[in-house]
Amino acid sequence: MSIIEQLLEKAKARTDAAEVFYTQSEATAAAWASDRLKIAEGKESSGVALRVMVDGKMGFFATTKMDDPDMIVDTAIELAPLGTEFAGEFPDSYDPADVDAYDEPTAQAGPDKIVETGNKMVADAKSGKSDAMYDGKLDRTIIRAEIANSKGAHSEFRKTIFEGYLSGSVTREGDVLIIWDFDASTKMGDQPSDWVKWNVETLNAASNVVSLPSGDYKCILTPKALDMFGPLQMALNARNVLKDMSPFGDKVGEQVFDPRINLVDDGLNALTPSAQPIDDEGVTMQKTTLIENGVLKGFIHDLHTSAKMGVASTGNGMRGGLSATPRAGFTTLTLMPGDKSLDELVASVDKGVLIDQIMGAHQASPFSGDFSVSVSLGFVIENGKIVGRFKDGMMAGNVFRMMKDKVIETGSEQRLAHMYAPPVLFDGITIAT
Amino acid sequence: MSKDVALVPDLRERLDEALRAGADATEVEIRLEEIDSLNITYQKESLESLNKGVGMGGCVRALVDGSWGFCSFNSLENLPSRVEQAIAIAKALGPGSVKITEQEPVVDSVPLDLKKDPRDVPISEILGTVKGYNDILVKHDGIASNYTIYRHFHYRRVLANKTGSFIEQEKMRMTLMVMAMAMDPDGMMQDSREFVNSLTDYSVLPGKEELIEKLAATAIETAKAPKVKAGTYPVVVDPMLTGTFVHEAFGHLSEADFVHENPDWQKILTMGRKMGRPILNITDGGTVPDEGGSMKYDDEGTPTGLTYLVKEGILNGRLHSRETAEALNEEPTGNARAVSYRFPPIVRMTNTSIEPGPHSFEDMISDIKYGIYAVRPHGGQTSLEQFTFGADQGFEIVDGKIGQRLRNVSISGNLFKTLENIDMISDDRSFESVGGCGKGEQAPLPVGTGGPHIRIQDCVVGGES
Repeated sequence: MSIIEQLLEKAKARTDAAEVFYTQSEATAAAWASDRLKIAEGKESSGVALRVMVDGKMGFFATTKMDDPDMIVDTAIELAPLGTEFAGEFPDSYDPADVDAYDEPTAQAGPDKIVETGNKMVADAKSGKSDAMYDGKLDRTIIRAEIANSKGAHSEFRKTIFEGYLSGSVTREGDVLIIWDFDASTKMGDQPSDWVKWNVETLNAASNVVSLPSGDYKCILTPKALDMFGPLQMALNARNVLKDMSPFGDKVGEQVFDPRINLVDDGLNALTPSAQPIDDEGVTMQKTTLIENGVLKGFIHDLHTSAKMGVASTGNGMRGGLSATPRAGFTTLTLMPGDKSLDELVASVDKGVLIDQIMGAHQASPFSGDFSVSVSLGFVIENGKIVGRFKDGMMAGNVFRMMKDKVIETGSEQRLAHMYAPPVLFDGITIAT
Repeated sequence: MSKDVALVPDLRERLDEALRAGADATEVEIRLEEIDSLNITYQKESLESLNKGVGMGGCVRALVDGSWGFCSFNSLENLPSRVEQAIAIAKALGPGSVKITEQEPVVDSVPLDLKKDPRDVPISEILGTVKGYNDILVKHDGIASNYTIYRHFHYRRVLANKTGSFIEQEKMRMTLMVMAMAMDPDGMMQDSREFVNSLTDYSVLPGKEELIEKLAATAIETAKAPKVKAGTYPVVVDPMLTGTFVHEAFGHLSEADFVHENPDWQKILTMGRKMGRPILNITDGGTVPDEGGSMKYDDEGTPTGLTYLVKEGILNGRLHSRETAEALNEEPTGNARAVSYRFPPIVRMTNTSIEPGPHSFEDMISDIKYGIYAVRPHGGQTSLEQFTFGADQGFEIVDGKIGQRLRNVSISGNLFKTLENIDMISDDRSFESVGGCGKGEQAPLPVGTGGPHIRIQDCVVGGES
């Protein structure tokens, strides 16, 4: 009998309901520092998490030590009387979505392929701009997950994840420039070549430093510079609605953002690593509309919040690691694209800035949306052209007010960063230098 | 060594046997780790999570012909094959340039000396204490929502290497984090936080009701406070925030791993360079007792110590692993740390601090016409030369006196200019071990940060105009 069957068998007799989640992963990675290949890694991990329901309360225990099933079941049952309320019910059956999250060539990429790809990446970057130094990492993971419950539901799936980054730096006394590009996807494709191209072009564009007086500017934020938009996720999560922590709690159907803003949570986009057929409590993954033409449509849910609020789960029951219970969390928060390319957005700005990297996003207030971050890669735009890089700036504002009152338009090219988003052109953003 | 059963039976013998599989490697390290944790979260009025976890795993790192191979795993079966796997991975890299310092073999066991072990406290009792604090906020007028989070995390680690070291160490960390939220005049939620933590004694966690009452009052006041106006001000920084500042702004720059193969950085960070005024002393060390980064040995088996990074304003030292020390022909400092068995050790801080100076807090503010008093950290980040950090609380300083509260105080700057601009340092130091440090994908690593009050002239404060 598998560990899953053993745990269910043992738990069933002593609880009202039980659910077992098993996960196993195998990863190959390599890292480069100061232009050199430093280390290669092979990582395996596996673990099991048990949720049991006893008299309406939930007991939970997770472990990577799977040699003593009785101890696992005993611990979960022992914790149940002290445990959390769980308003939902484990599904009678699981219905996996049709999503292409496992890519055979990616799964086949072993240490040799990873090392060869990364060596070429660093060599190409070096020949593109030789006075910079490069750090990077490539990481390929295969995940197998299996979930089953005491009602007889059972499902399993595999997925692949390829992720990595390339970071170029130029160090001069009084001017240290560090830039990076990265991606994560279910497929290993041409990402490393894209990072090389971006690093070389950006390092060249950044070599001219210009000054920028403090003031309010038209501002293009690339997806990488949307890191401080975390409060949006807090606001759109049903967990926080239930706790009076969302400013959107009572605003379904209202115009909360500019009509050009459309936000969905997309669990089925195989260009992002969160795509998979079912969530971590077995609910079908889906695409959920949250904001449509600026109007609030709903929230992301797990089994508990959906039961509490009398709606269906949106397939967002996510485990933030093996030893955490499933809770409503985003798969891939997606800002829908507009029409203009980044170049066209730049061309439309007479006087403004383009910001690509920020620091200090987690200093922001997590609920109010107020932020004050440091700009670590920003460019000055004059008459539709980038004229140089500005240094040591701070950008401040409020993400809710920006999305409501300051959107000029969204760009066309989406990529994964904090959100899966295009660049966005805002008006009147305060930059202090 | 403790009440825990041995990690695995016949451990020493099994590790020695496994290490024999690494005969053709320069160095082989095996690390095994056992973890247990408890997480309790109350949000608003109810228990949101009660998560107990137990884990076990291990890793092998092998240096072969100048290249590192690393593998990690959960099953501790067949350790010799894991050593072979790490060696095979290292060989796949081809010959490399890595050299490491030689190590004097150490055989030691470092048991924890806990005054009160949270694992001896019934979970129902811990829940009761946490709920008690949470209820204070739930019942408090003006508090719109709240979080109360308790965590303890314990690990035992064993390190055995080909050099002959065999070290067992354990660590416990208990943290209580309470967040109170109040509405600002725009109807948005502003948060204020309070922390209690201990590395050794659960009994410091109960009995903190007054602290929580005070937090509620602070949260309500903060939400009403005006936002800081962007500008350049003299800023006085409290000890907790000084700790975050020195960690973020200077500490990361002291980590030798980015410098040891980068000649441009070596030029900028030449030992003997003037970094600040003679009152400025900065240290890092694992031997500081009972803080987040306190350990007798690092994860390569190097004994920790206390490193003067800046002495009397002059750049004096940096933090090393065996690899970076060898490359720069310096001594390892005991700063090779891994967040868990899933990662190889890299150069990290332990307990970083600005040493106390000659001034008093009153001296610092007395001649300021208009400035900012920044209190407690609210996150921070650095890209080497440039840094930023947020303050949980802020106040105006007007005509030499602390004035009204401000919110959203966030500071950024150039490290070298800012260190030069520290013109006063107080004589009252305190350490905190609340935060976890992130570097690359390894987070949160427990660290200690410490310092006195410091005064920074011409500091850039962000905000809306």
